[in-house]
Amino acid sequence: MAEFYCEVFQNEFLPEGGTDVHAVVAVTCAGAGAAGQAPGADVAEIIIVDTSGSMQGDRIGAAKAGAAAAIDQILDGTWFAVIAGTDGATRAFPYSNATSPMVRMEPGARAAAKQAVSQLVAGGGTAMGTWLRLAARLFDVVPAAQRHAILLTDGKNQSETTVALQTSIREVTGRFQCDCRGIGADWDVNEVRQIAQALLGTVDIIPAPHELAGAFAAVMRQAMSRGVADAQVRVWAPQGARVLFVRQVSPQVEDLTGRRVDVNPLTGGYPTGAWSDETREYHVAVRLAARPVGADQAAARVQLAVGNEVKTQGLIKAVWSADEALTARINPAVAHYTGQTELATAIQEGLAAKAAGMDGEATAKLGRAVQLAEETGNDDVTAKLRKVVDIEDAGAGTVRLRRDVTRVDEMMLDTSSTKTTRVRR
Amino acid sequence: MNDVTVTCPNCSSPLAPEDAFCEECGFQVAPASVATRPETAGLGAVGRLQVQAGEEIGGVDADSVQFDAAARPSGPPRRPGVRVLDVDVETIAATCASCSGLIASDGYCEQCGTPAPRPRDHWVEQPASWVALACDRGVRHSINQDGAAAGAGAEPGSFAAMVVCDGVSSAARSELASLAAARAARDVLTAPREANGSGVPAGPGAQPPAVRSSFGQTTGSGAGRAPDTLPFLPLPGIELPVGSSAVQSQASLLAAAMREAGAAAQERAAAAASDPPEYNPPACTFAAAVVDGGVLVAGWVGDSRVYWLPDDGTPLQLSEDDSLAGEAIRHGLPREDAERSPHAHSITRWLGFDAPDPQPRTSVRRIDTPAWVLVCTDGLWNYCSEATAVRDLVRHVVSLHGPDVVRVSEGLVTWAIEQGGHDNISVVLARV
Repeated sequence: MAEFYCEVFQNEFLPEGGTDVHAVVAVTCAGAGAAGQAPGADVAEIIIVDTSGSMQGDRIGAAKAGAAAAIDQILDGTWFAVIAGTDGATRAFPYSNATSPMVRMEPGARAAAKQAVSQLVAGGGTAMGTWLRLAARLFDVVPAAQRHAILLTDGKNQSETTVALQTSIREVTGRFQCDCRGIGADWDVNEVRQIAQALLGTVDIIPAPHELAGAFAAVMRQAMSRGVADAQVRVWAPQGARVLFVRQVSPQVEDLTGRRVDVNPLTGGYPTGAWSDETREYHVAVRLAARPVGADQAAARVQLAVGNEVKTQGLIKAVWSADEALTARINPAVAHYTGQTELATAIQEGLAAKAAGMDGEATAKLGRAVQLAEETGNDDVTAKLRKVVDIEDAGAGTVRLRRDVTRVDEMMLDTSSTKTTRVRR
Repeated sequence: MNDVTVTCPNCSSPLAPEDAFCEECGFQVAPASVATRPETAGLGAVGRLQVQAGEEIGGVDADSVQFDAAARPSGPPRRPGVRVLDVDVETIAATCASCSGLIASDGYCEQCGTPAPRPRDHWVEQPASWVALACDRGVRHSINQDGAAAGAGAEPGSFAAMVVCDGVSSAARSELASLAAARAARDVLTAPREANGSGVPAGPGAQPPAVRSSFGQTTGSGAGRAPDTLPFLPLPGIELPVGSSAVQSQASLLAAAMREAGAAAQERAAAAASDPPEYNPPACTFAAAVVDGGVLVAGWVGDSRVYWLPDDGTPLQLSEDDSLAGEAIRHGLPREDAERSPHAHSITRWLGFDAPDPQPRTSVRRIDTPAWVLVCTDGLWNYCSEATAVRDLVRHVVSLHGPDVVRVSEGLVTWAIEQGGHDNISVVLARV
């Protein structure tokens, strides 16, 4: 039986007249078990493979191997299917003449699915919206509460309009989770990130074909370790208060503010998808009416709910004080994740400016990113920044854009921008 | 991040998260989690005995006695005519004082987030017209770890038991130890006496001998400690009650009862430890006074105090601090210098699972003149230590608020808060 607990990190002291309370709440799940273990908790998985013309050669071979590796990780009893995506979407397994659009995994099905995957052929365009819609339709026919897909692409979404893709994303949001992987350097990180963010998944680059099988197996293995089907972060704020934002800040930055659904007039719910044994951290900011010096109050309660059951709750407090030594301090976790969030924005905006030929702005943004990565100890991002800029002074954020940058290096920097490091405790 | 061990920057002793001051040396530490006093906090519970003039209060039926809702007569059998009120200081209100919303299990309102007033933060008990206690969180500590208890007969000067226990803030859950210890000691002091006049209380309130048996040996920590053969500590300025064998034997009986009360308090303080006991188990001080038959006996462990404050004559501190400062004073260091030294507040004796020497030392005083008897924790005497200064402070408070014992007790607490309220404040006051 999964258990949740949480820890609150904040400086609760506000100066006279102070209104804004910031806190980082770490929510930890333990004893999640494997996906589908709980009685009546069916799980469904769909593997979506790009089979457009650009996949010809090494890539389609790698995609076949990757899909097979993922199939190997799917636990017996899990509903599953494989979709081949081009400018349309076709069900590669179960075969089109099968009686059920999804089947439960068992050794025979596993062998048959790998056989089907081995026959995939590359050809045609790319319209990811159609892939997502087909996946949603397939998921609809199985009685699974926990639905997850893994999507592989190698190119831009050329065969449908941006509006069409966004419409499809909106249509399928909340119906399944989706982790996205791009192979090579010809796909658009922002485009795929939109899908992953809406569908509570991750986005990453697979630079070389031979890395694909390992990456796919890892994604599927992780999906199968999520024994808690669906959970919701809830934020209560007192009457008259305003929730400024709710952000997941670890393991990756995700702004949840706009995803609020009202649980009751004072409590908003934010979907978080399925959980394995893991810790996720949330940065919550609330604006209160100031109280007199000496007063204290509950500024927010942060809860993790599974179904309608609240599993854990953290209390965020506010205490008004005249003591500057107390009120001036910024909690280290809040400072760290504020920096990491700004880091993600600086990288993404810097790369966008560079792509648009605005070298001045790109230099400034990426310089700021170097500074923030240094301050927050994000060595992984610093290493990736080094491939895009020459660092003159990390502390001051002085950099020069490198001229010899490969597109893969930029994409690796881009996809890693939202991955945060934990605060040193 | 929150569970790192914090140590005092002055003397490197471990600190509890809520410590504003080092328990060891009194140094004001970086106030990591100092609570300021909420202006909005309501006064806590009040238990007050309302007695019709001239009416006698029996130990069992007392229809003429009224109690506030939060107070309840409780505990084991008492001496005839002795009344005890235990105010409920644990239960927090179910609804918000600010908006009438429900109070959630975290102690804050479900609607507006306002904290529910915690009765332990401030409460008052008045078991008789001439005896009262007031106990308060103060300003700088986030919780009240002091405990206090009192019991008294209706007739002024007849019988009173007065106890304070100061929970040691460097040990977790000391607030449980202190209140349980204070009330247990009070229960022993107010228990009925056997007909043969033995000072040892009888009945269910009596103490099991198991704890008592571990007492009796001196550890050498308290310099100036009286030999076990002497029932009382011969404090300077305090005459042993020579001349009247009746007074002497009464004093001996009360001193024995005081040691039994200390044993009961020690048992409850030790029981607050975890099983198995933590490295730093809950602990508290002990200071008590019992007034009976014209005799006052003081007992103490640690640095909480008993003062004799006569209207005429020399005011005296009837206790002798078991602290490094107290020992320095006994060795001749001027009080002001001793109490300012870095480790002044380190206590050398206390109650709790790890108490090295929990038996109260005692001293005695014949009640021969109108006086105030004050039992208090260092939350008060930190601002006013010398007996003469305490006498003057009480006079000042009486001049402001009149002689009503509750008003004077509350006045002393308010005065300590005005001085900064750096520690929890407990005052038990009797007019004899």
